[in-house]
Amino acid sequence: MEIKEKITLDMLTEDSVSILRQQYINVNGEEMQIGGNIRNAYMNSERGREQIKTFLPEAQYNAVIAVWGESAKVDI
Amino acid sequence: MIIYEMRKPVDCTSGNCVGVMGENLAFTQEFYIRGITDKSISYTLHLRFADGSVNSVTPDLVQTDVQGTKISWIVKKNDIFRHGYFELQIEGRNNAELVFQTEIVRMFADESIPVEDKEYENPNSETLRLRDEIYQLFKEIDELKNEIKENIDFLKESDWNTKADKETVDTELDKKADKATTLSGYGITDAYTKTDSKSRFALSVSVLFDENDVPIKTSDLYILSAGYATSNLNVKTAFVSSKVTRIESGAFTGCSNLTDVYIDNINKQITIEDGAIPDTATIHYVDDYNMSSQIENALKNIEVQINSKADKSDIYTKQESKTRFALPASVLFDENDIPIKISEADKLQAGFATNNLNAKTAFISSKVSYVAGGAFTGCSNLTDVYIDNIIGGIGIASGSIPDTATIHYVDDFNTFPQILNVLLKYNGLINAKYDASNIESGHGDFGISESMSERVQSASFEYQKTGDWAELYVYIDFKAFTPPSVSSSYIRLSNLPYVCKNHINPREICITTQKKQMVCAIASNSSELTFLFLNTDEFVEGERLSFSIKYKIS
Repeated sequence: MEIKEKITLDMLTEDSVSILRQQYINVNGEEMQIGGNIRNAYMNSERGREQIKTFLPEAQYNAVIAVWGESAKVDI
Repeated sequence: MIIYEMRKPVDCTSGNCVGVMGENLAFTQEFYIRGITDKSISYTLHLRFADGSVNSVTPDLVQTDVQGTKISWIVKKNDIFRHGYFELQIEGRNNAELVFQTEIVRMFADESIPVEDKEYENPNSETLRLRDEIYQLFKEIDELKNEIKENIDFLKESDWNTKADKETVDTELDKKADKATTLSGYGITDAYTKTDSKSRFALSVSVLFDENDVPIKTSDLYILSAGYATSNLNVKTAFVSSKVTRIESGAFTGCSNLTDVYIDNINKQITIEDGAIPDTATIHYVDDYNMSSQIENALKNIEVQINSKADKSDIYTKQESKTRFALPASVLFDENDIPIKISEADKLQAGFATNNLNAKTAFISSKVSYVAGGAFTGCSNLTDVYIDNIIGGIGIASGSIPDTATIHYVDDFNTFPQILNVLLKYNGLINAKYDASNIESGHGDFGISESMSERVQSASFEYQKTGDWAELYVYIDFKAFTPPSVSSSYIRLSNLPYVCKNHINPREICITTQKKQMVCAIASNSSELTFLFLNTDEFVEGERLSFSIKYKIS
């Protein structure tokens, strides 16, 4: 049984993003969530950019970077 | 002084004789006025004849010398209106309009030649007028003569043998009846008398018609009382039956579109109280009023309207529609069209909306028969009151509705637009309420930097988002360490579920399982949780901190 992860980019701004991760399995053709919502916010800082790069799929990462730009805007 | 140089006629025993014919007549009469030497004077001879006619003649010659002025009058036939004695007076007028007149003298004018003589100029206009009148009379006489002749000829052609003599005519006339005034008097038995016609065909009920001559109300009452048609805006024409003896005040009050009232009572033997009929309506007293033409017109109108209606099987009648869809209750709405009070009462008593400052619009159901004093007293923000009643019959007590509110009488009031508006507003309000779209719960792990990893073994949270707020339940397990100082030591964990949007940084005092006090804070526009030490007490391995903190996320 394959577990699919759904990533939602929420409240994406030039300074931050809140990322919601949900896991689903397909039971008899119907998708059912398992494990609850996992959410973390990331700042457009050096550390934050590194964090999202490590776990976000490329597509979502590129989507965030497209808004954040090429360089960090937040110091923390 | 005037010097007369003339001969007297034989028949004249006194006076002076002038004229254009006859012996002993002066054809030219001269006058001399001694002492008048002003050459600028113009003279006029004024003549007055025995029959009262007057004439003014300009002298033919005026000669002035050092002693006086000689005036010559060549007598012409048109100067003399009537032969016989006449009076003469000379009038002089100078450039300065100064006038003098001589004494009046009596003279004699003998017969003159006919006025029609063409050699004379300026025929006498008065004489000509008289001549014309005489000619007209002669003409009329000729016409009368012709008519008489025609009558004579007609009579001559008549058969006198068939004419009855006077005695015979009188005898026959005596056999005839005097002029009758009734049908029976003339022996007519197959016609309706006026009374018969009135009872058969005249108006037996009072009827109200609208502008399309469609009857909207009928009544067989003898007295039309207040409320009969009060405030009925559809009424245009009213027909009052001959049986009605009295129209009371208020019967037609408020019928602002009423133009004509036909009362079947030619002798005006009906009492009409003051204020019964609007002044704008014209009252017609009629007799034997025949409604046939109006009824025909009404039927035609009804037929047209029926043909334009859908079949009853697939539509609701007006009454059915009113029952199903019209406002069944009285409702108060606030300024946002939100209903704030609903009532199914048939009387709105005092206190219904008294001093309700939220009430802006009121809708009064057709079932309401009375609005008592005080029902809307104090509703200073009430602007409009819609009453589902255009046929009258609702009593509104004085002072029940503020003067600042406008009363609208409506029919078949459809509140759908208002209800739809309310639903839309409620939809907006509901959308602002919390549901699955703006409530979320979950969990996550804090990000622990390398430097923090020396102090923190694990750090996680559970969160509950409700609208614009997030509440965190934080769980931290510490490692054994000793804060080096209070002012410069801290623990910072990153990756809260949402970025903090508080204007004022939220702070909480929290206590570990080993009773270590710390201050937890979240900086605005940050996703990091910071812990500040209040003392430098040592943390033991596995010392746990759990607390909750709430902050704004948008």
